[in-house]
Amino acid sequence: MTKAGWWMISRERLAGYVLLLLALSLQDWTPLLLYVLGMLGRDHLRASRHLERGK
Amino acid sequence: MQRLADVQAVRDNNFNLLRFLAALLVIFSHSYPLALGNSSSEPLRQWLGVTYGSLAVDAFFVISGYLVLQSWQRQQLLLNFCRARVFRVLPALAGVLLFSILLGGYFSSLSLPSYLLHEETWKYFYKNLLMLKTEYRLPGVFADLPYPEVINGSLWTLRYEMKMYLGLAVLGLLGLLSGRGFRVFLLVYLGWYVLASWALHSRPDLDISAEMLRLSLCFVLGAACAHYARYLFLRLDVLLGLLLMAWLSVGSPLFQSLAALCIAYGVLYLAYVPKGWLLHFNRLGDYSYGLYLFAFPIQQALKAVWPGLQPWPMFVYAALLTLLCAIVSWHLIEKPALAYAQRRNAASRARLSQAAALS
Repeated sequence: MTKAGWWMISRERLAGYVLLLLALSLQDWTPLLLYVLGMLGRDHLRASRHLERGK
Repeated sequence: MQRLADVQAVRDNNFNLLRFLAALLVIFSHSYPLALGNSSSEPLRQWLGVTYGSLAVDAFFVISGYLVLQSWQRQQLLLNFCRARVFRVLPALAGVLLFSILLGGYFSSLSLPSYLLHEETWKYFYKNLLMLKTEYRLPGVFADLPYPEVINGSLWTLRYEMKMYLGLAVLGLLGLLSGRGFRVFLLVYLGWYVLASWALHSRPDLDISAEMLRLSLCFVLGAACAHYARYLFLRLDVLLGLLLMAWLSVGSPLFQSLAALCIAYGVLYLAYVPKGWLLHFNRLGDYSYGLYLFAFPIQQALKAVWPGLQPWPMFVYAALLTLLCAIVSWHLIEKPALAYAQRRNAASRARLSQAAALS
């Protein structure tokens, strides 16, 4: 088994880093809020798909 | 000599008592500007250049960083983390905003219907609840007091608190709160802190928030203590050494950082080392948040009713009246809200483990 390097990041994390940089450069927390809301939405979708498969 | 990691899991600690004392310190500190119109006569300000209130708020942020990082590591779902934070902060905040609006209705120079239907009244409620912007004014309320037109001057820290939670969630999602990631974050943060502190003093055109700098340092120090608990020993000589260093740095640019370090270590030392009868305090509820939230409007109302009120009597009367409100808030609002969030989180965790077992 090969160990993943720290540079091998998922698209979601990449989006997170981009939004973090955006938030820092704009000095505005809205991009971070959007990111957390987006991740909550992702979790919700995953959970509903999982439930559908389980039925 | 105790290692922090060994006592971290002990639930019978002094955090409730420390938060309670910090909330009382905030009430004491606010008594000076609210009774006299300025905080220059606040005892600690005359002595160290900072107020008891600001040190107490620093302690709140250290405790918050320390406990919230552990909460993040404990929660298995982002939703659970967000739910725990939202149900801790917002229900009591909604309660104090409604309480302030009702109190303002009594003291407002407007008639009750025009006060209640005034746009500013509802702006005060929803902007503060959603933390879009801290609104201090209610129409026609407390306009003639020594500290005029401010209903609740304590609300400003809640926006910073929520920003810290948001930042922590993002760092967690980016994998920066565990292992090597935390080290990278800490180095980047400390680099930013040093640069921003320098810029705060020498480049006023850059518009750097001194509050964000100070409170984020306290929060990050608390989180770092939770993360590196294995390497941290709680020793009285270290605490005294830090106190001495902070004392010697009074008046220098290093004071803020050393004071934050001292508060962080001192809070953790006092939370875990003193035992015995102090722990009985945990049998009571956690009244600190209610004390912090309700005190300011009560202090302003006392000054409006009793214009000659001086700081010390204001502190005593306000502390007693606020404690009543805090007890009601804890038992009727905060405790049920927390219990609800815990039930929902337990159900989410159960669903998660069920799904893991199925797949």
